[in-house]
Amino acid sequence: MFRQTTWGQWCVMVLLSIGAGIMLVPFLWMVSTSLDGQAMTQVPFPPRLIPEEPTWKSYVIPFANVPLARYFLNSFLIALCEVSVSVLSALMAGYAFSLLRFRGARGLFLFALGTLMIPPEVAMIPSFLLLNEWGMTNSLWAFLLPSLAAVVGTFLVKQYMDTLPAELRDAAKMDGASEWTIFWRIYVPLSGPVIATLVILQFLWSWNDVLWPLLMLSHPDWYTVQIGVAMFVHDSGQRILPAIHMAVAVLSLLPVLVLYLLLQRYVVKSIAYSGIKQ
Amino acid sequence: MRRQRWFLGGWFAVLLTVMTACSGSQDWKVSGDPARLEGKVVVNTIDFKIDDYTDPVTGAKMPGLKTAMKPFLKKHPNLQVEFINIPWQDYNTKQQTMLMSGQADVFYLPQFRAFYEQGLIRPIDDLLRQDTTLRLSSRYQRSVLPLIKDRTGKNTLGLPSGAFSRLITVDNQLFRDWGVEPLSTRPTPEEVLAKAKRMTGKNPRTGEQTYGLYWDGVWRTSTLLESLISYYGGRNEVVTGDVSRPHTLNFHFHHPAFVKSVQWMMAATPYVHPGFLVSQGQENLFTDRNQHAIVLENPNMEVPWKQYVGKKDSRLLQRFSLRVNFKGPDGLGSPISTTPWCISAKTRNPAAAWEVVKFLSGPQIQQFKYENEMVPPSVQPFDFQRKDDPYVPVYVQNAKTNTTTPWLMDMPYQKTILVPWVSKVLSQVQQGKRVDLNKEIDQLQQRMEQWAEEQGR
Repeated sequence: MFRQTTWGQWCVMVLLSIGAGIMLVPFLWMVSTSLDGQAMTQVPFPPRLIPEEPTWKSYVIPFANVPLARYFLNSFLIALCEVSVSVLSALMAGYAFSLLRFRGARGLFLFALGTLMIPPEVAMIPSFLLLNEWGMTNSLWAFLLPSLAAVVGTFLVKQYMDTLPAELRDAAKMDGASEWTIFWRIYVPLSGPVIATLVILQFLWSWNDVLWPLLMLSHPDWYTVQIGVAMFVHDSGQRILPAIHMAVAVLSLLPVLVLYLLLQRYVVKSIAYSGIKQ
Repeated sequence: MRRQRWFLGGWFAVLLTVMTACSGSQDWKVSGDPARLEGKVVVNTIDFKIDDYTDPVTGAKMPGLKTAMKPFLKKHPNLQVEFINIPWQDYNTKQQTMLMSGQADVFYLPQFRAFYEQGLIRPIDDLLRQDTTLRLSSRYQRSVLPLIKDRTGKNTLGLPSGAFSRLITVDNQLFRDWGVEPLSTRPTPEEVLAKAKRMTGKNPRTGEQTYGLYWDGVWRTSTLLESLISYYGGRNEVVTGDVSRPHTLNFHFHHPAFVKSVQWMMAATPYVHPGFLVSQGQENLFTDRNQHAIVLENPNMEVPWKQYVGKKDSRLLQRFSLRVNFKGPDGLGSPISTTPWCISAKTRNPAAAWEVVKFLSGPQIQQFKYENEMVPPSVQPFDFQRKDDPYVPVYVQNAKTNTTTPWLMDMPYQKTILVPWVSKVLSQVQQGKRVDLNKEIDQLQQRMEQWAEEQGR
């Protein structure tokens, strides 16, 4: 049975639809330009959403000119490693800060948060030099090590676990469970929504990052898809081959879009399932 | 609180140590016999086509740089050349890290002076002295030679790639529509202004709005100012002193050449697209829908050329033609730029790197870049031009009398003080406000003097 929709709700829906439309226009324009044969030499102006010379050529050429499939694979591999390491690290650190009582916990947590105030660009060259000194450039280590310090993730997990009842841990302790068992078998399964959020955020950061992979990778075989996209942007702006540039951008967006569609229901899940019957 | 402070202090100390612990070696000595080169040379390029590729517009198979290098590698069978090609995005940071860590021997290096000042690239004067096969003055156009020197003009830092000068582009169709006689082959600013005035308004044939003039107010104001100052004879007088020691610079912004240049820009502003100060208005530049009759300081003609080569459509080629830029009373003027090929200070194979640099900046590669990407060459003679190419020969012709103005080229105040000042003045003109140019110049003079003083501290 449908509930009757009031005028107010209709107005809200109309406004939201208009907002959604406005948000979608740039994306649609990007897709349309990528399919427009005329956009091979310049961006059609005024902008149009219906291509005048529809063609798939822009999607075929990048694969012929650069090893795009390989770039995608590299991006996936790097994103997978970064997501795994940073989520695991954030879960463990967040659990520790939230539930374990140890000397200096508060200071350490504040210090970790304080590092967020240092712009990444400041630490980038020193980090590069350090990893280069250790022979870790052009390898997965360059992405795994920095992922261990997942401060934003740690903060999110801590805040989330603060909302879970501490009685769960107390009860498990009384039953003789070790800290490791409590963490893995009770708190991690209850952290589904925050894990999903972290996976999406970390994947987005990792997938869209250009500068760090660019600094750490000097072998074309290791390049990521974002470096591949950047290769299509010329010094003179995007006046040459805009269609191809847009096509590569559309392709690079697809994995993020798919991931978001798969995990969004977890992200919007706002009520933590506490595991205790009232 | 105290403990946190200790933590933060320690953290910064670690960062500082890492940042300062890696200074490059300063050993400039060369050894090795170029006739028997061996080993590996790693070359860093920015947005080059390294492997053979399919041209997106024509669909033709095109050769990449590796193919162009084959004659060189045949000559040096024991030498390996490897390429690390990077995008333009964040190229400066990437090159900084590559130079610091010695990841490549040879660099295509836009910011070469800054890296030289950090001790990251080696000057090549000793190599030039030892090399009996190369004379700069006979191999390259005279106008590019100052561009490969350091700020003092004493040390040569690399060998040039293509020569990018700025020209005046004319839309012949709009001239015909308005019934305005064509722009002369060597136009003066006065002629440009007079004709631009007549072509601003509703096109009598199509009824569409057109503008007599265009220049990109963000990226081209500085070079336009340079061209105008040259034309009015103030290239060496508006600013005097040694650019390598900025605190010695003396500014004379009330010099007639500078005043006339700014006045010309102010007079031209009503005939330029209203969005020019923020780079707007060039969406249809050089297309069928172009609305600018004269485009100043134009660096390339890629769109008409791509249209011609890719779609065999020569309409745009006929519609747009080029004129040389403004020149001064001495026949010289308007800037030119090049990106040099430089050798890393950390190279372990300087003799081989030198041979690679010579080849990359030589006639064979410049011909290759011209034929495949329309890059105007800096080598002379230009005996490899296409018969159907109406553009690059004009760039080459123009480059013979190009010159650079050291106090404008590469100076930090160019983008931070001078261009914003010009934009402010022109913006006031756009808004119909009365501009007291004397007062504005006084303020500029004061700010620049203050800047120079700060450099001496």
